[in-house]
Amino acid sequence: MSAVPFLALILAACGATSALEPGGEHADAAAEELSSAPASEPTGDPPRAASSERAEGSAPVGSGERRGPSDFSEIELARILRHSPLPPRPPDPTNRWADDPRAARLGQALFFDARLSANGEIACATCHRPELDLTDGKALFEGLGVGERRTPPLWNLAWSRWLLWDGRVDSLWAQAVQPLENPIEMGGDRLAAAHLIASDPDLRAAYNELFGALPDLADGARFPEHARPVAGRPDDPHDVAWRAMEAADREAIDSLLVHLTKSIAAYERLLVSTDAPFDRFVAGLRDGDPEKLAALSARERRGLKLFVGKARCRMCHVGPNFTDNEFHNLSLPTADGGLPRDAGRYEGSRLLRADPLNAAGKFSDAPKGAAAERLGALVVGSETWGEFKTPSLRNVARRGPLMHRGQFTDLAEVIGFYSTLEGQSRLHGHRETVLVALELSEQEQADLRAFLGSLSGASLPETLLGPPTLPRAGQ
Amino acid sequence: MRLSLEFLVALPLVCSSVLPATLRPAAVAPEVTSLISNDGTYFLTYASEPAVVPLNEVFAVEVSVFTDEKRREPAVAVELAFDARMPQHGHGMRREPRVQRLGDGRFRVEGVLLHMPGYWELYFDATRGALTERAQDSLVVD
Repeated sequence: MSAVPFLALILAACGATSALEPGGEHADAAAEELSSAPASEPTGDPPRAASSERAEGSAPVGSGERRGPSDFSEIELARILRHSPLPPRPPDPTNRWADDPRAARLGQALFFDARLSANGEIACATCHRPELDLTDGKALFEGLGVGERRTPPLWNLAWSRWLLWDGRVDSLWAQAVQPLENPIEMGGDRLAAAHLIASDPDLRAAYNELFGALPDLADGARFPEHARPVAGRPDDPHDVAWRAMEAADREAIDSLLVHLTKSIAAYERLLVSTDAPFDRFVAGLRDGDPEKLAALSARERRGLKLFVGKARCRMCHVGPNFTDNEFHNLSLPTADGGLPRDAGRYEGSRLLRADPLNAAGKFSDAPKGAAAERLGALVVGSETWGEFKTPSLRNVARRGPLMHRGQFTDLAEVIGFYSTLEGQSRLHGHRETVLVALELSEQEQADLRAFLGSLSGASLPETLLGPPTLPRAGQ
Repeated sequence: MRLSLEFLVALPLVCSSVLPATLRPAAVAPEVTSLISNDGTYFLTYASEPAVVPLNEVFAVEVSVFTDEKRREPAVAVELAFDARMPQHGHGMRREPRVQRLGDGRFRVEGVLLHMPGYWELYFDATRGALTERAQDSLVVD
């Protein structure tokens, strides 16, 4: 059976588009709503294929006719359906506490606890501010110093196979170690974190309940106040102190640290965004409910049509999380107009492979599992130089600046860049060669912005947006 | 596998409750594709698992290599390498698939990941001694 008529048959059989066809009650409203829409644009610019079937597949299937001035072709509908709903949260076998609510509560407490930082003033939530959509509203992150990249959004990271802009970690729990010990972020260290847990009765009780008794840290000679490994800097006092410790004590502290970050990961797995107007619209496409279909305005629908077609956004922003979870070089403008200096994924891959906290390492709860296999199969090559992770577009309209260095203030600037590629940095390695100026009209840019605004989901429950109340010690 | 309209996979979400079982995508028979290596030495067949190649999800490819056009004589002495690239993008996969030799000229390629929608070329390199011959195919993942 040929795939194309098969598709048409399925669409016809299940009535997926019935709500968009003329004649229905909602169709009248939709037609009225869409009456101001511009003439339909080309479906998109799909690449030519070698197979003859592709040539058929690139055009709308079925009757080949559009049902309205801004209606969707069946190809577009099929693409749209793939963006919603968000599937169930995938398990994380590398973290046996990933879905333990007690771990999430402890992790939430740690997420909002500034005592983990060197100066006692910076928590995870300092940069991932709940009132700013879990970012900080800055182009470059600011902790104890100023970074060279933007604070990444935290939404829906449970679906990510790589973390951070350069993918240098492959789990949420390994990620949480990075800002904790980065000297220009929180500047903390694992010994100080261990002593904090030991000295706080509530944190200690929560820890003990999940992970068993803490090691006895009372002997300051064995467990100094501050210590952590510092790669490549053997004179760093923290590294000197770390190397002076017994191997067994270092391992005990590493385990404790990983317990803490696995708890933070359990909390971060709850930072889920779904149920955006776009999701309701797609649900309407599935069941024909007019109220759901009304979740998107005419302008947003036009933007959606661009998103899956001419604007080619889905080339990277695919799937229900609007990301391919991979890395790309968009030749974005540099700060000084010169050559880009940030190696991105090229360096991130190297760091990931060397990280003892990666999915194949001894602190992983599934060192031979799928994540470890994925790590082992990772392709590392010079073509990854300057690539950065595709971020999810969920809630993107609620935050800014955008891109990995905060190069653009808002979505208008991002779309403007894709439209003209003005300011594009010079070639310095592999880049997406299909990246060409979209030449979107002002209205098209506004439509696309409007659609991206429809990806903003409901707010998180208040109970997740601040430090939780831990059970009192001894109760 | 030649035609990869990946949305066929998504369609059960749309209408699995209303379609008779015979019309559901799961009923699509695995498609076996035949290829000939560029110097005409090897005759290959391959099929993906699942039959419809998914976008940005890991899948497997079963490959058989023969020495005759009727594909009855397995090429027992060859090794196989597999790769996939997006020539229009200038890059390939971000995950290196693993080729397992099954014997009798049969191979199973695990861990194939086509992470972007668009035009992909598939390369099957059969090597015997110092001689490698390539067979290739293309598909569009959408």
